[in-house]
Order: sequence, then C-alpha cells, then structure tokens
Amino acid sequence: MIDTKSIESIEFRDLSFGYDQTLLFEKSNFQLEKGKIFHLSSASGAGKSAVLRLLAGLVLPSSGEYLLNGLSVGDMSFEEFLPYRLCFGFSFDLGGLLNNRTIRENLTLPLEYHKRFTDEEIKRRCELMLRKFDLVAAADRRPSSVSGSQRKACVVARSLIIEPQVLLLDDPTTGLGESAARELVHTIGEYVASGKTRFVVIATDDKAFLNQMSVERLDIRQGKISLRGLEAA
Amino acid sequence: MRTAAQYMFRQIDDWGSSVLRVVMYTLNVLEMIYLSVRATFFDQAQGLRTIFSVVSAQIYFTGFQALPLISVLALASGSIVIMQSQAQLSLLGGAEMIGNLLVVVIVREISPLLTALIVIARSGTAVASEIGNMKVNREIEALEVMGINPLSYVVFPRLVGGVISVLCLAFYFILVALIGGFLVTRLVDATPFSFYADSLARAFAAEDVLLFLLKNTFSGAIIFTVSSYQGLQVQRGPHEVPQVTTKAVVNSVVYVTVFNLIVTTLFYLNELVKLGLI
Repeated sequence: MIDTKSIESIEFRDLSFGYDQTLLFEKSNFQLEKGKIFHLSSASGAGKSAVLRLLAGLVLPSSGEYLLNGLSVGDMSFEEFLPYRLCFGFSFDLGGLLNNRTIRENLTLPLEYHKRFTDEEIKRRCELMLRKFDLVAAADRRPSSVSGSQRKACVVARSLIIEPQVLLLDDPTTGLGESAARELVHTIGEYVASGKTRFVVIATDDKAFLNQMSVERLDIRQGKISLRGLEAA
Repeated sequence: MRTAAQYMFRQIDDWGSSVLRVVMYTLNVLEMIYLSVRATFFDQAQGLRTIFSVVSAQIYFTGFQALPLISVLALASGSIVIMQSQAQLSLLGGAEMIGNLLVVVIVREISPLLTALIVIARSGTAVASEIGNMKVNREIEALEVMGINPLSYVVFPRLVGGVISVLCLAFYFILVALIGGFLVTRLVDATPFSFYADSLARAFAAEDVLLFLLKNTFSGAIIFTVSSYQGLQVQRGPHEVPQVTTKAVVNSVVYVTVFNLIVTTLFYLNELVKLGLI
C-alpha cells in the first residue's frame, strides 16, 4: 500500500509551456488558495487543457517550476510523484476511458490497483458513483457500447471516486446529461465543504454550470496566467 | 558541382547516421524492457494481480487463438520437409539420417522463424495498433493520472504473455510438424513409425533445448517490445496508428531474422570449433 501525501500548496513559478516550439504561456506565476474553486478561462486553444495537464503532472514545463508543497514536480521521478498523483482526480475533455474494461471496472481501477481500499469500500464507492451518475444500467458494458453522455459521466465519476485532494476537470459538462451535471455540482460542493477536496480547477465555457458555484477566475491572456478574483455569478 | 571526395564523405556520413539511428533505436527498446520490468517489480505500485490478469489475456490472444494457423503451417511445412528429405536421403542411401535433418531444419530453424513471423503478423500488429489507439484515446494518460505506470500495466504484461505464447507455440509447431507431418507423409510413403521415431530420438541433443529456449524467448521479447515501443510513439492522432503498426512489423521482422541468423551462425561456429575445423 502507498501512503499518499497531503497537498498543502500548488504554485506555478516563472512557468512557461508550449508545444512544438510554440509557447502557450510564459513566465507565469500564481498560487492556488486552498478550499477554493477556480475557473480556468481563456480563448479557445490558448492553453486551458495544457494548464490542467501540467497540474496533473502529465507534461512538464518548458521552463520555470511547478511546485507541490514547495517541491518541484519536474525533479521528481514517476515513483516520487506517485504519492501526490494519487491525490489527483482528473476528468478528460475527450476519451480517457479504458476500452477493454467495463464502466464498473473503469471506476474501480484507481481504487483496486494500489490496494488503498478494502473490497467493501471499493464496492460501496463504486455503487454510489454508479447511482449518482445514473450509470447502473451501463455498469457492466464497455465504453464502446454505451452512449456518449454515459462515457462522459464515467470519466467525471472516476475523477471523483477517489475523493481527491485536487480535482481537475477539463470541459466536464460537454456531453454530460443535465442530471449528471447537477450531481457534479452537488458533489464538488460536498467535497469542498467537507475538506476532502482542497483545490478544484475547472476549464469550461459553460456559464450555467459555473453559475451554480462560487468560483474564482484564473485567466490565460496574452501568454500569461493570472488570478482575477471572484467571478460574478 | 559536388566533387568525388565530397560525395564519398556524404555517403559515409549517411551510413554513420543510419548506424547511429539503429543503435539508438535498439538502446531505446532495451531501456523500455528494463523500465517496464523495474516498474513492475521494484516500484511501490503493487497491482500485480491486475497485471497478471492482463498477462493471461495476452496469452489467450497470442497463444491460444493462433493455434489453428500454427497447426496448418506446421503440418504443411512438416509434411513438405519430411517428404523431400525422405526422397533425397533414400536416393543417397542415408534414410536413417532423417531425424538429424528434421531436427536441424524444423526444430532449430523453421519452427522459431515461422512461429515468430506468424506472431508478428497476428499479435505484433495487434499490440502496436492497440497501444497506438490507447495513446490516441488518452487511455495511456488516464493510467498515468491514476498513478498506474503504463510500462508495468501495458508493456510488461504483453512482453511476458508474448514470450510465454511464443515458447508454447514454437513447441506446438515442432510437435505438429514432426508427428502430423509424418502422418501426412504416410499417405505416399511406407516408412515405419518406429524407424522414424528412433531416428528422431537419436538426433535430439541437449543444445537443441538451449537453442529452442534462446531463439524463442528472445524472438518473443523482440516482437512485443518493438511493437509496444512503436505503439507508444503515436503523438498526434489516429493517422499515425497504421504508420507505427507498419514500422512495428518491419522492425520486428528485421530484428527477429537477424537475431536468428546470429544465433545460428554462432552455434555452427561453436560446432566447427568443437570438431577442430577452426
């Protein structure tokens, strides 16, 4: 069993990032405040998904530092980052489900693999998520044989099932059913209020979804990421 | 206008670059084997139960499902080699040497090479395109996000399952080629089975087992590492999947045949040294 770390601070320091020689943002500095929900906003293709991928440790900065608890993620090996990584819930905008596993197996994989939970606890959490996101009927089917909204619901549910300290949602409501979107808002509120989830970053253009929460804006403008404070509902 | 010297230097430069590319590719593939074994056994991730369920699935797809094709090829090639050998050896008056000839041709050469080529065609392509599609569908990233090392969850089980499958298929190939081939030959030739079996039993030696294990283990490892490596090279989109699959097949065929050639050459050089001819 792996001991997870408690994540106290998340910071970008002089961080630049780009793909194929093109910088999306450069020398950006910000620190996320605990217990708040951040709305990552930018023009299309300006780097919202890239920021989320950086935060999840899927890509490394071109220059500068991404610090977790003051430690540079770029200096960590896969194994050193693992205790932090297990505290992250990530919902992809597209794809992300394992096609050779059923919806239920996709949900339980992050819980089963590292043996952090008992079989009863895994079953309890899985059934809870299946009910919340209306996936009970699709539970034993593979992603290719369920609807797009059920696939999206499964990706979102999988990011929540571990009750993450850091929740990163990339376009979570695109393709998600109305009731599942309501359930997502409710669960985020519940996790943040209970202190289970300390940092939430959501990249979306769905105003109706954002209006149901109190969010702070994290803007990507002209190659810089900056905090804009509380967003008007 | 380019002078002859410039042209020559340019040629040498090109050859050097090609050799370097092959060396770098080989080192990258070897590094991936090391990292996947290390990630599976030495890291904190303890999902061995999950990993071995993927190993058994790989053995089913690569080993079990290939049995009909292997049977047909083994039976056909076994029959052909036995018929031709019996005909030629009878003419030369060395019919009792049939066992030696079959061990050399079928056990040492045809079985490892044909099995490897079938596995490349069936499973090497499947693994490369499956992993390529996993990259496109962000399944590899999803594993990383969940703290699951793709090298231990995706590459290692395919490598182990592939090696076990190739070993079992090659053994099955030998059995079908030698026994089935003889039975087919009985339709046109009346050689008694006891004579045939006795000749085979006398021909088998301990080094055949070593050669069998060496060739098939490494062929399996080469096919599944090269295919996995190529699958993981997909970066941008689905249009790359057929490209990496083709590369996986070409590279696997080249590496497997060159490896078989090197092992056979070293083996026969050793035989010549033993005989005092070198």
